Amino acid sequence: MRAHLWKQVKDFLNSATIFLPTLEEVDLKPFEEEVIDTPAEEAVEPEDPVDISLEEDFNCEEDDENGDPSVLPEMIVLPLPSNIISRELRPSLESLISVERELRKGQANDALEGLRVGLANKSLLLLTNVNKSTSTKQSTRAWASVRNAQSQILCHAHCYQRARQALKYVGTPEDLAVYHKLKEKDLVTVKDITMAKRFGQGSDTLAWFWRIGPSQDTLTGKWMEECKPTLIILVGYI
Amino acid sequence: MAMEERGHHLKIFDINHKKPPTLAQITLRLTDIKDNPSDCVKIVDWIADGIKAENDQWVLNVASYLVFC
Repeated sequence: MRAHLWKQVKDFLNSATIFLPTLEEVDLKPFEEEVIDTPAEEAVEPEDPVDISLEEDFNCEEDDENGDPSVLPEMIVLPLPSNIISRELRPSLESLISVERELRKGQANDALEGLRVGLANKSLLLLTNVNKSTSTKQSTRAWASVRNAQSQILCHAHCYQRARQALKYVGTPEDLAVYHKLKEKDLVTVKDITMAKRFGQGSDTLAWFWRIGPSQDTLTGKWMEECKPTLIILVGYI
Repeated sequence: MAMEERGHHLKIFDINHKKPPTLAQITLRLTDIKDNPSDCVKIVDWIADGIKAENDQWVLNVASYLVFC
């Protein structure tokens, strides 16, 4: 895993010399991670790291002639246009910035889709597997799948935050108006699945990312088509 | 019967949902524009690789954290 990342980072840095001017360390700013977690009332214990093994990677690291063993590839700040804070360099990076802006929007869309799928999956698992488990064995398996779904949700949430953070530097205010800040309360399960027919359901709303899509004008335009003749008649009558 | 009599007006009950473009679709769109200079295609590839590497960095960080903490 680490050796593979070394290769990725090395290739990226090599290509950076073609597209970017020479950069100093002060020109780059690492991504400031905002910690986001599932709301406390819905949190489940994290998965046991049984399957994750980095030991072989550390052995690979020593053999890896490309990498400097004192520097970990995951700690290197990649010179993406959104990480370059130098104001002098910015005008020369306009074409790169416009490309990154588009790609970051795609990354944000992917992450939000993953988030929606993850939350719906977790809700469904709670409703079916967890609620209907009749033995300890079934219950253990059900909760393991819920934990797995939660890890996926947090992974997509991080991915979205990273994309949004980058859009703050390379995007426009319109982009930030579409891609809102993700809050912990947004990462709740879909109550319409887990607790259908509950008290106060009518006034409950889903998080903003469930409604993201084409602009409101395109939707209301078609939906209001049938009302147009009525309005014209009414106006004529008045 | 309803479809015959009301025709396209019934389409308002169809789900009008269009998904926003994914990273792959945007990458393809940016690299697929005709008369695009080869440099532009290389830039798109390079930044897309950077975004992927950045994601992998985070995954490895989380994996290291889970193993050692």
